[in-house]
Amino acid sequence: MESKFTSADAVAALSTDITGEDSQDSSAQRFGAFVEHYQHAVFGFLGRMGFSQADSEDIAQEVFLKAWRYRRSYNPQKAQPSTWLFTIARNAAISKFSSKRAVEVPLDTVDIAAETQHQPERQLQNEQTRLALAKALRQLPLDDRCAIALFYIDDLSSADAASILQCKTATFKTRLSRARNKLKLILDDRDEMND
Amino acid sequence: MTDKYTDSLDVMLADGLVKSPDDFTKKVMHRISEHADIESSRRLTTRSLIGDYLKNSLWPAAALATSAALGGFQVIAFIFGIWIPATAG
Amino acid sequence: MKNNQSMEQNSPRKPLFAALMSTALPGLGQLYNGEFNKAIWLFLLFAIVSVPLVVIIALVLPAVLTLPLVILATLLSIGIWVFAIVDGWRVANRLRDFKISAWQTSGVYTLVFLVCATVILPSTMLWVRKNQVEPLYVPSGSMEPSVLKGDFLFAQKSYNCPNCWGPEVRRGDVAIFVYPDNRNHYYIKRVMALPGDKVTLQGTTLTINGERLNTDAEPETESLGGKSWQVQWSDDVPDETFEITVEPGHAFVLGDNRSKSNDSRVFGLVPLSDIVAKARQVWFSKSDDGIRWSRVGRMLN
Repeated sequence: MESKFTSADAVAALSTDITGEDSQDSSAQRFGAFVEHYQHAVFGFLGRMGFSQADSEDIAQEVFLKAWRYRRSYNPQKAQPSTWLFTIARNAAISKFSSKRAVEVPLDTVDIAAETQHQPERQLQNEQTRLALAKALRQLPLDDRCAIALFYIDDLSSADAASILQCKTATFKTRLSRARNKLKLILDDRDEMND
Repeated sequence: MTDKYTDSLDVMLADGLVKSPDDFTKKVMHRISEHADIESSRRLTTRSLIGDYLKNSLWPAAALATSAALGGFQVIAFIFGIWIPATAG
Repeated sequence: MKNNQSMEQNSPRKPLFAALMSTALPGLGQLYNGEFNKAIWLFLLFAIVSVPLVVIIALVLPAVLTLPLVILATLLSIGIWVFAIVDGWRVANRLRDFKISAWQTSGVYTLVFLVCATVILPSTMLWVRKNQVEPLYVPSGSMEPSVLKGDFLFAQKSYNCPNCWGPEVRRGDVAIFVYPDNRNHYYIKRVMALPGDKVTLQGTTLTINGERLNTDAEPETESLGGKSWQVQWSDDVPDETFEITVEPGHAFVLGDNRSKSNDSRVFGLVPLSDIVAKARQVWFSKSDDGIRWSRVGRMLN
């Protein structure tokens, strides 16, 4: 169903050159493909940042809206479309954190209730694991979460991720490995507690 | 960057802890079209062109620089006004 | 689903704009950044607390503190201005994502600027100079040696006024008044006699209500009402007698440099209502030979 969406397609989706008569429509179409292509990665990013499903949907919408609104400011020579997009995503995540501090929705109540209503036993266990992971992620400091969240995005290289986090590539890699170790420790702790 | 799924942790993290809803693209495009409506309802007329020229050329900067100079002068006159002597013979 | 708040115009704040606006008027840049309360407070601090309030406080405190306090007021107002500029820049820098409010238009900024910078600020300063403290330059030597030609003074304007809390006119005050022969000019002389006083000047000896002001031993030192000062006479003072009784509502004034002073002996009595200020402190002094640093800060009354 999906035709291959290339980096050039992404750049074209973000450009604001007015070239055709129904350019409004065609630029909207191109952007629709852009959203289609990147939404999985954006949601993945937000999930790894520890956001709930509801928050992720809100933030993801904001991210793509911002991408549309600010597409004029995207300079293909300065960055890849994915790097640019995930800079927006990271900033959106951070502002959500600072605005949400008092109102952190506990993961259990919302997610379990909404999503596990009619699910078989196995899926319920997966849900538990997911929840444990999200909780563990939330215990990491912001920068560590960002590093982990960016690592698993296909289109981003380590150098891209480092530039999003505004640090050196080596620093990013160090931070990433430390964060993963911390995460493992937290998860192991929980496992022991649950036993 | 993701060619090293070394353990179960990686699999879990890469799998995605949250999912994108099926109608996500539609929702986003809908909001964008509302936004675009606001923007495209401005027709291109001479007045709008003059307006664009005034807003996007050097005029705002010039007006700002002038008022900064004028205002700065007033501010300085206020700050140092207590030091400007009248004459008493 | 979230409501459409984010559909409003996004208008990232430009730091240079904010900084220039606060340069034009402290607080205007803050208005541009949407910080309504901060804008108002900054402007109030700048316009009222920095100079007017400090000056009013200075008048209550001993005269010796007038100069340091006016310096403090000046530095304070400069500091507030600089803060407004820097803060405007910094806050605008953070506000890349900014929803502009309906009232943030060029018209509002211009109106606020015009009202504040061209009306409020100048009238406040004029009020301070007219009612509190006015700086003066003395071009004549008629009050030497107390006040030298080239002295710059602070004069207290809350003096001799019915509803303000300043001092009343006392004999011996170095006062500033409207020159009777030309009401565009201020003069500075010493108040020697008040309504009802009988003044007799014989040669170099001044007597008020029967009391001699100087002594034979020190003819050039006069004292009256607990105060004393030096006067100067040239060598060839004619031994003439000058007598006057001060009529109600007037004062008799003399310059300390008696032989070189155009004062009440020449232009007559000065209406009390024309006495506008009392000299308080020298804040600067410059002669043809250079700056007289020793006079800076000297008190006069």
